[in-house]
Amino acid sequence: MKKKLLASLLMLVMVGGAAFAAGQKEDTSNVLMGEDRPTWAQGVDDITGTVTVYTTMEETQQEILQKLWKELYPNCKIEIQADSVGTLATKIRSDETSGADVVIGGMFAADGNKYHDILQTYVSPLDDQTPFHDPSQYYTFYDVQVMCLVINPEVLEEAGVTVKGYKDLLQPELKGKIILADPSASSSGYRQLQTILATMGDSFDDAKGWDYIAQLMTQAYKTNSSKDVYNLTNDGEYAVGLSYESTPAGIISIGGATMQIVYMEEGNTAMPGGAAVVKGAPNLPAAHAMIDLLASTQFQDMRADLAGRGTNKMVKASSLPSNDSLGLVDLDYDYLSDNKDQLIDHWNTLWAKVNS
Amino acid sequence: MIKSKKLDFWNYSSIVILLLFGLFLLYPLAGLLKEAVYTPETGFTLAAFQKFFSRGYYYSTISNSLRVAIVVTFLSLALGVPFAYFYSFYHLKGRKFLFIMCLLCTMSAPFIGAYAWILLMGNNGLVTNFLKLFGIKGMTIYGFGGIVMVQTLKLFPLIVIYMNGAFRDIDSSLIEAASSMGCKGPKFFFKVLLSLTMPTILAGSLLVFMRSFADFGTPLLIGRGYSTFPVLIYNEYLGENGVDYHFAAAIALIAVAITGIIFLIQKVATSKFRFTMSAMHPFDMKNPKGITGFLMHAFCYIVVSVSMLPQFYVIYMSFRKYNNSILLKGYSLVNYTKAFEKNLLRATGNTLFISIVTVAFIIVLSVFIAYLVVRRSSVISESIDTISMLPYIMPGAVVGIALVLVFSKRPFSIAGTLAIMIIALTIRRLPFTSRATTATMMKISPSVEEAAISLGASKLKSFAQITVPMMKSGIISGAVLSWVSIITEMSSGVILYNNRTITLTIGTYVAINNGIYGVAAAYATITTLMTIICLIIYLKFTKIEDVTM
Repeated sequence: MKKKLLASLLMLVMVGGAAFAAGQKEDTSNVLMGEDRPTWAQGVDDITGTVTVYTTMEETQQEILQKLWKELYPNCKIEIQADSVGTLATKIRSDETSGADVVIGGMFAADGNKYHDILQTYVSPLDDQTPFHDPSQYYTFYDVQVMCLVINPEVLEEAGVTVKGYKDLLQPELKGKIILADPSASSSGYRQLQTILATMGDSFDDAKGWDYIAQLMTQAYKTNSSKDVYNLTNDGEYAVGLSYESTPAGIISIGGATMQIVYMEEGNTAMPGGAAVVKGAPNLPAAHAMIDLLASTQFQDMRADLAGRGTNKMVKASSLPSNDSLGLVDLDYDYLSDNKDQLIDHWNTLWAKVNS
Repeated sequence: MIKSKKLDFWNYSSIVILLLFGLFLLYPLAGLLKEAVYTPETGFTLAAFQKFFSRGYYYSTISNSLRVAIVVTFLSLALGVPFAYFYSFYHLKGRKFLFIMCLLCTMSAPFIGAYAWILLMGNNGLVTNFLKLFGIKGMTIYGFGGIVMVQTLKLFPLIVIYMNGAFRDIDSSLIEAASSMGCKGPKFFFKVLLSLTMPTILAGSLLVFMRSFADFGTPLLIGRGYSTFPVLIYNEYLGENGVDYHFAAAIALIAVAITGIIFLIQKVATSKFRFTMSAMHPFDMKNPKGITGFLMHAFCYIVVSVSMLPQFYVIYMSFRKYNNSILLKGYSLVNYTKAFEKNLLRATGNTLFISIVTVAFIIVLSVFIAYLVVRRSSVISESIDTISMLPYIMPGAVVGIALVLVFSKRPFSIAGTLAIMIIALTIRRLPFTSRATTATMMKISPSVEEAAISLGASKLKSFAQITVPMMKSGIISGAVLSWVSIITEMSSGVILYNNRTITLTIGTYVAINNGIYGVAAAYATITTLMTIICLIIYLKFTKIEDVTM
C-alpha cells in the first residue's frame, strides 16, 4: 500500500514535469523579419541547436539579451550559466564537456592574456563601428565600465552624513556601514581598487593612494560578490557600496529601488569590457552570431535604455551622465596587466594588517 | 588458519571494491598531492606551502575556522545535552514534534539557514528593525558571532540525537545505585550521566566540529571579512582574480591534515572511555512538574522555534513579489514562474536522479564492506575499512577539487557530467552509512548464516536471502538519511556543477549568488519540501527513538 502510494506520487511528479516541458513551445510570433531584421544578423535557419552562454551579466541584463536573441534566432535555444568570471573560467578549464560557446562580461582590456588559454579569436564584422579594439583579437567590447558609489539615502540620513566622493567615506559615522567587493575575488572590486589608486594618490599606485585604502579598510566590510555590494546597499544593510555603474543603474531605472548612484567627485576610470568565443565552442556559428549581437547598436540601444555605456559609435545616448562629466583618469593597461598579482597581494596584506 | 583455497565470490568483491576505491578515492587524492607539490615549471616544490604559512591573511583563516568550530562545538553541547536530557528523561508535551523538528533542522540545507538569517537579522532585517523600535541597536548577524549562531542552531540537534541514544542505553540500576548513594541533582548529572555517556559526547562533538570546520555556505554568506578556511580554498580555486590551482591544492591538503589530526585526537580521547552499555532495564521517564517542568518546556520549544524560524521565513519570502533583486510590496507566484525558467524542473530531476543512484551505490557498497569487515577479516578487508573512512576527514570542497583535478582530462573526462556528481556524493556519504551498516552486521550472529549454509544454501544465497533481509531496517534508515544529506549537499557540488548537472541546493546557491533572492527562496522551498518528504519516508521505517546520524 505504502509502496503503491509512493510509486504513484513519483509518477505524478514525472508526468507533471513532462507535461510542463511539453508546454514550453518556442514562441515564434515576434521574430524580427524583413525590414526589421538587422543587416548583420544571420538567417533564422542558419543558427540552430543550443548556444551555451557563460556570463557575469546580472538578471535584468540577461533578460534583454535573451529577448533580442529569441527575436533574431528563434530556432536556437539559449542556455545561460551565470557566475563570476573566475568561476566561469575555472569551470571551462576543468570541464572538457562544458559546452560553453561564449563568455560574456567580466573580461577587460587590462586583463592581458589571462583568459586566452580558454578562448579563440574572433573579429566581428561590426568591429569598424567601435573605437575600442582588442589588439590580440580575442575580445569584442560591448560595454564601457565606469565606477560609482551606490548609496542608501535612508541609511545615510539616519547616520546624518552626506557622501559625494571617496574621502567622505572616512567619516566616523559610516564605520561598519560601507561594503566593498574583495579585489581578490571580484573583477569590480579590482576595478574599484584601480580607480581609488588612480584618483586618490598623486600618481597611480603610490603611498598616498594606499594610505587612503588603509583608512577605508577600517570602515568597510568586504564581500566576494559584486552583486552583494549594490543589492545589500539597496536593502539597507549598508549605507554606501563601492560598485560599478551599469547594473545598479539598470536596477534603478526599472523602478522600485531605494539606492542611488553617486559619482566620486575625486574622479573616475573607464574600462572597456567584453565577450569572447570559447575555444572549441560546439556551436561556433551561434557563438559568432552572439558576439555580433553584442557589438550591434540594436543590443547596445536596449542596454542604453536600461542603463549602460555602449562601445558602438552609433549607440543612442543613455540616461547616464556623459563621460566628460566624470573626471576620467587614464589607466595604463600594460601596467595593470603586469602588476595585477602584486596589487592584489598588497591589498590582501594590508587588509590582514588593518583588520587583525 | 591459512588455508589454500580457490578465490570465492567475496575475494572477487573485495578486489573490485578496492579497485573502485583506488580509482575514485586514492587516485584523486594522489592527483591533489601532485598538484600541491609539483608544477611543470619548477618540478617538485613546497613553495605553495611556504606561501601559505608566510602570509597572515592565509594562515589566519585556520585559526579563524578552528575558533568557530570550537565555539560551535561547545555551544552545541550546551544546548544539545540539556535538551536531550529533558527529552530522554521526562515526558515532555509534544516530544515527538520536538524531535521531528530537530531532525528537520539538522537535515535542512546549510546555507539556506544562513541566508534566511540575513533576511531576519541583517542590518535591515525583520528582527533588527523590530529591535530598533525598542532602541536596541548594533546587533549584527555578520562576522564571527553570526557564523557561530547560525551553525550552532543547525548542528546542536546532532548532539540531541546522539545523546538521546546514549541516555537510553543507561540501565536504570545504575541510576538507582547513584541515587541510593545520595548522588542527586547537578552532581548526578555531571558525575554519573555525563561520564556514562562520554564516548557519545566525544563522537557527537567530533561530528559537529567537522561539519562546522568544513562548512562553507555560512561563512561565505555572512562572514563579511571574517575569512574561514573552506572559503579560502573556494576562492583560490574559483575566485575571480589570482586563481591558482597549485595553491588551492596545497591548501586543500592542509585542510585534510588538520581534520585528520582532529580525528586522531578524538580517537585517542574516546579510547580512554572504552566501555559498552546496553540497558536491560530502561529507566522510567518522569513527568515534568511545576516551575521546573515549565522551564524545561520553555527551553526546548524556544530553542527549536528559533532554529526553525529561518526555514519558515524563507518559505514565506518565496511568495513575496520580487522584481529580480528588488523586493516589492505584495505577494505573487512570480518567483516560482521565474524559477521554472531557471531550470527548476531540471534541477529537481537531477536531484532525484543523482540522489537515488547515489543511494543505490552506497547501499550496495556499504553492505559489501560491512560483510567483508565483519565476516571476512583479512588484510584487504581491513584496508577497505580504513580507506572507506578517509572521506570522513575530507571537506566537501577538497573532494570536489581532487575529483576535478584528475577527471577533467582524458582518458577520464567526466568533469561536468552527472557521473562525477554521483561519485563525489558517494565518496562523501559512504563513511557514515558503511559505519552504520557495519554496526548492524555485528549484531547479526553468524550462526544463522552458517545454518543456512549447512542446509545446502550457497554462501551467496545465504548472504542474499538470510543476512541482507535481517539488516533491512538498518539499511533502509541509513539509506534515507544518506538520501537527505545528498539532497542538501552543496560544498563539493559547487565545485563540480554546471547548468546541465545543477541540483536544487546548488540552484539556490546560484540564485543567491546572482542576487535573484525570490528565485532563491523558491528553490529553497522546494528543497525543504523534498527534505520533509524524505523525513516522512524515513519515519515510516524507523522508530523515532532509533534515529542515528
